[in-house]
Parts: sequence; structure tokens; C-alpha cells
Amino acid sequence: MSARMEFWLYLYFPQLQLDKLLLLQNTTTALSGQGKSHHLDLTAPLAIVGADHQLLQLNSAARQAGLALGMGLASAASLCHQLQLVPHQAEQEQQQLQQLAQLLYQYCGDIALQEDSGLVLKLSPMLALYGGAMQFWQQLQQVLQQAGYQYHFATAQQPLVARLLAQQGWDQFLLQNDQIQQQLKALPLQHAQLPDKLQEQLQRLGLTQLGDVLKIPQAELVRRFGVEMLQYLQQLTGAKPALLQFIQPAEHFEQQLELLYEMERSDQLLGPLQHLFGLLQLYLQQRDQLAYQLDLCLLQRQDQQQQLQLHSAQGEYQSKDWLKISELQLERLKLKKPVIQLKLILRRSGPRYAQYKTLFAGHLEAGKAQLYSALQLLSLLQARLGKNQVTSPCLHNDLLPEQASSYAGALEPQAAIAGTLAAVRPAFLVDPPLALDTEQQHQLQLHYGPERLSSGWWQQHSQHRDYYVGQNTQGQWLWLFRDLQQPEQLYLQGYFS
Amino acid sequence: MNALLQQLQNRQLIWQASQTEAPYEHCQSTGFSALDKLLGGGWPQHNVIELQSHGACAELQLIQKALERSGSELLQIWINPPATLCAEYLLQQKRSLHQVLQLTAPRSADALWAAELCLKSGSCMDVLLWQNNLNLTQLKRLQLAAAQGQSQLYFFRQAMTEQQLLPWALSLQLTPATAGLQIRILKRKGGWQQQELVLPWAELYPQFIKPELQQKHYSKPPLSRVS
Repeated sequence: MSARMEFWLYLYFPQLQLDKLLLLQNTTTALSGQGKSHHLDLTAPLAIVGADHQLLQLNSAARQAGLALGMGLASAASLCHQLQLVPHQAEQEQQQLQQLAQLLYQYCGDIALQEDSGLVLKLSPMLALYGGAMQFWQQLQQVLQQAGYQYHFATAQQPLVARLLAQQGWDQFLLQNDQIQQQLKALPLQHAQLPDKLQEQLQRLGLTQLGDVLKIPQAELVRRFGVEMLQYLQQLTGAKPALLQFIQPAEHFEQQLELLYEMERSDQLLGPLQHLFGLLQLYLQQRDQLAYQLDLCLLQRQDQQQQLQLHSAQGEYQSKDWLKISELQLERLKLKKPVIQLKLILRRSGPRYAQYKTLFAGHLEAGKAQLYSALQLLSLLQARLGKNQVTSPCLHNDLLPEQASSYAGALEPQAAIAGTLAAVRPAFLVDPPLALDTEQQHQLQLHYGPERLSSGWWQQHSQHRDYYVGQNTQGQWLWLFRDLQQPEQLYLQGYFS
Repeated sequence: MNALLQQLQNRQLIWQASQTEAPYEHCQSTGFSALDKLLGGGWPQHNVIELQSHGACAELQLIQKALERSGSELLQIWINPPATLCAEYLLQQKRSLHQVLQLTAPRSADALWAAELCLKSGSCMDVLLWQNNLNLTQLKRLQLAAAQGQSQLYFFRQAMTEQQLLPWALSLQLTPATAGLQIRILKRKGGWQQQELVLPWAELYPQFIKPELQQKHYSKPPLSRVS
């Protein structure tokens, strides 16, 4: 035994898929306010069935009906004929396990995924950091409770031992090896996860508990049962270090979520979306980043999909801010077909900087904080009105008024243009200039002018214009010009307001 | 008789002179002394002001001094302006262009939503909105938003013959006349309405109308020679 003792924690999640269904239903009903339209009723007996037609996970109603894990479908159906069946999805469970591992990664550096719904955490390096085993465990418990999945756990010096005890539902967080060994010795042989052949041979010898096997000298066992036994014993005693692949934090954020039932209205999507944004928030928090752009894929029946782009000019990481932005976009969205799956992809992110809202803004009285910063406001406006509907005016270096003024991206700083500003310019421009007929021209009164603009003489199309300020019969103030090539014609260029 | 009066009073159908609301808490000078006098100090602050006109008659010029005083740290929002904004004009008013946002919202519900959001955000000072219809609830919402974000909404509307009874803090009708702009108070919180004023054009457009030139009108525009 080495001087530095290793300790492992094994977390076993017996009903990931079922718990997920329960969790999803809670968030969906809380937000959409209607719970009874689901295809699945989670309060009635429900079972998750494996590929070999065995019951793998049962809800409490199914247990009350007398069903047990490992039962065949035929006997289950005869016991409880209204039993709802959901096929087991191993891939989805693996994904959830991965998510849980990412969640715990904040608290523990070495986490390995196990194929039978379990996580192995290496405790020993973390204990010094948290100043004691119990503090660390309390922290983990809190996280697990928030995640909302059922779990069993056990600790041991060898990953295999921890796993055996956790799957037995021992649920003890101990760092005393003798108690653990005692518990291990009492473990029934059929739960020891020995290879089937070995287990049968040992039982024929009359051994019932793991302790009985451990009493026999190791050399004897190996001589009689061969290499497989040796490997097993080495893992059990920790003589050979376990081969574990520790997880690495994900490089990209891409999460999908199967919906419980087909959603036809876009506001129903907010519940499931909140769940996805929660995952995004976790991802961003771990990396200290802000998200600027997200893609949201709404997968629909018959392989159709609709795609939404969510933008935030300021960059957000909190789930509630993203929810607000997506709410505005979903309001405008018409679903072509009912949605069955959501997929959220992070497209653009950046390091988090200190965000500030003006706390002591000059114009706001004390005690009133700014509700949105300018960039947040911009994101919200763009989300509802559309990106092209929100613009800032900009000035180009051109003499012709209709070419000098145009629009640029909102709130983008613009290059300054040297030169003096003209004194007389109206607030609004008519683009293109409107030719006035003779009757309109006669009714005009000119008050100021001319101001001559000659432009483009260095190019093919030269323009020479005389500008006037005039008033029409309604008393409106107009900005007019006369093109020197056809001096009889007056054009309306703008309105003074 | 007394019982009847009491009943009417309970239903808030009687107006008493003692209930006269105090004029606005905060005023901002309009920059025109005659108008300030008419309005009892100036524009009411953090509120919604209605300006009715047929357009192109110095309605922006009236509020220009107030806009200038708002400072340039905060945004200025133009919602559904009647025509393209002239960038040179905004620069004349010492406004940096990237602090100006123009919103195009074809649906009036969207325009009102945007106005409300901007008003209460606390990052905008002035919101200019061109729209024709507004009901009581919408106006109340805008007023609350303006008070919350301590911002100002200028509501531009086509002049109407039929007057709606809405509790504007201030509602003005602007009609161009030969001598100047005729300003009529349609509704004013805590003050008498039906007061009028003519503001000379030379005061509104000092850049191109000189007071001494105002009497002189060209009958026909002078023709320039083709160069």
C-alpha cells in the first residue's frame, strides 16, 4: 500500500432517462401552464424497456403496481395492463451522463465516465483544496441535488470496489478502509460483477459472498481459475491501477433536446429552451466567456427544420437574458410544422469583461439603476424588429445630399469627415429628388438662396445645382434645387422640420 | 340637491377649482422666451409631449434646443420618421451619428413597444415617435415608462380636426402662418388651454431667415445663368 492513499468516489445514476422525463415535464408545465396534453402521463405506471424486453427503470406508480426491475415484458403486462412503455435510449443517457460530468467538473478535476450510468471521481487531490472530505462532499451533494437525478454513491480506495458498493446502494461517504473492506466482504457473489463463467464455478464450490473468495490465497485462485481471475483480483485490491479516461471540458457548445411531445406554438418552446440556456450558462461560466451569437435549430417532422439566429450586441452569459432575447424572436416566428427537437449551437463567444451599467448615470436620480445598457437595448430591439430595421445614420464624403446621407450598422462608430458643415440643411431628405410640376412651382415662395453645389465635374456625370429654401401654400418649408442644365425645373430635395 | 352633488362627486364627474393640479414638477426651457412664458417654464420633463402638425413646419426646430441640452452620452431614438434622416443636419445639431438610432417598425404595436422599451431603458434621453393612433392605455404606459427611465417622448402626429381627450402632459397644435408658426395649446396639465402664440420664422430658422429680410418676398425665383 502506498503512503499516499488514493480514494475514489463512485456515483451511480440508476434511472437517468426516467428522471430526465420528470425534470422536463416540470419545466414545461411550469412555463406553459398546461400539463395534461402530454402523450405520457408520468403519474401513471411507466417503465423504460431495454432491447431485450426487460424492465430497466420504473416510476413509483409502476412499483406500486407490483412491477420489479428485470421483469420480462409479458409478466409486466399481465400484472399491470395499462403500463406505459418507453424504449431505453442508451445514447441519450450517455449524453446526460456527459452533461453531469461537465457539471461536476467545476468541483472535481478527475472524472471518468463509466458505461453503466456511473461516474468515477478521484477524491484524493481535491481534499486538500476543500479543506476536508465532508466539505467537499457537501458541495457535490448540493450540485447533484440541483441536477435532480436519483443517485447512489460509495467511496473506496479502488474504483472497482466503489462501483460495486455504489451499485448495491450503500450510500456511505467514508474514508475508513476497514469499514469499506468489511462491507465488500459481505457482498453477495452474484453482484460482484465477475465474468459469468467464473461466478458459476465459484458458486458451485459453495461460495456465496465475496469475502469467501478473498479468504482463499490469491495464488491458489489464479492457478485454478486462470488469468481472468487474476485481473479481477488486481482491480479489487488495487494492485494494478485502473485504466480510466478522464473527461476534458468540451471545445464547442452544441446541445440538443428531444421534446416530450410535439409543440405547435412557439411560446411553448420557452420551457425547454430555458433548460438549454441553463446548460449554455454553465458552459460559459466555466470558461469565463460571453456569448454573442447563437443558432437555434427547430427540428420538425419529416426532417424539416427552421433556424433562428440569436444575437446579443453586448454579449450575455446568463440564461435569463438569452431567454428574453429568444422570447422576442419566437413571438414573430411562425412554425411551419410542430417541433420535435431543439438544438442550440454557440457560434460566437468571447472573453468576459467587466460589464457595467451606469450606476450613477447623470440623468437618473439616485436609487434608480439603468434597466438596459445601450447595447442590451439594441439587442432587444433587433430581436423584435429585425436586424435591418435598426440603423444609425451615417455621412459619406460627397457633396450631393442624397449621396452624402445614408444608413450604417447601429451604434457603430464612424470615421470623421474633415471639412466644414454647410449651414442650411433640412432634417429630412427626399430620395430621389422629386421633380415639381409648373403649377407647384408657381405657388412656391423662395426665401433663401441660391447656394451652389458643383460636384462630379472630375467624373463623367457632373452636377451643378442651385439650392433654395422655399415655402409652399400649406406653409411647409422645403429645400429645393434647380439643375443648371435645365433651369426651368425645380426639384424637391428635403423638408425643414 | 346636496345628495345629488355628493353622488356626482363620488363618480368623479365634478371638477373643482381647488383640485387644480400643480404644473409640471420639472421644466426645461424651450429656448424661446415667448414659448417658455406660454408653457409656464418650458417643456415638462420625463413625460410625453404631443406635437400636432402637417409636417415640415419647424416642429423639430421647436424641440431642438431641448434635444441639444440632453447631452450626447445617451441615445437619441427616431421611430418611423416621415423621410430619410439627413446626416449633415444631425451633425449641425452637434449630435454624434452613432448615438442616433432610427427604427423602422411598420406595425404600430411594434413601434409603441420599441418606444416604451427605449424610454424605460435608462440609456436613452429622447425618443421621437411618428404615429397617428394612440389610446389611453398606450399613452399611460408610455408616460410611466418615461418617468421610470427619466426620458422624454416627443409624439408627432398629423393635425386632426377631431380632438381626442387624452391626458397629455402637453399637447400642442402647430399651424404655419405668414408671420410665423402659430402654436396653440390643446392640452396642458395644470393650466388653461386655448392659448395661442405666433413664433416668428426668423426665430425658428435663424440660419436662413434674417428678421429684416422677412418682409421681402421674391415673387419669382431669380434665374441663374447656366455656367
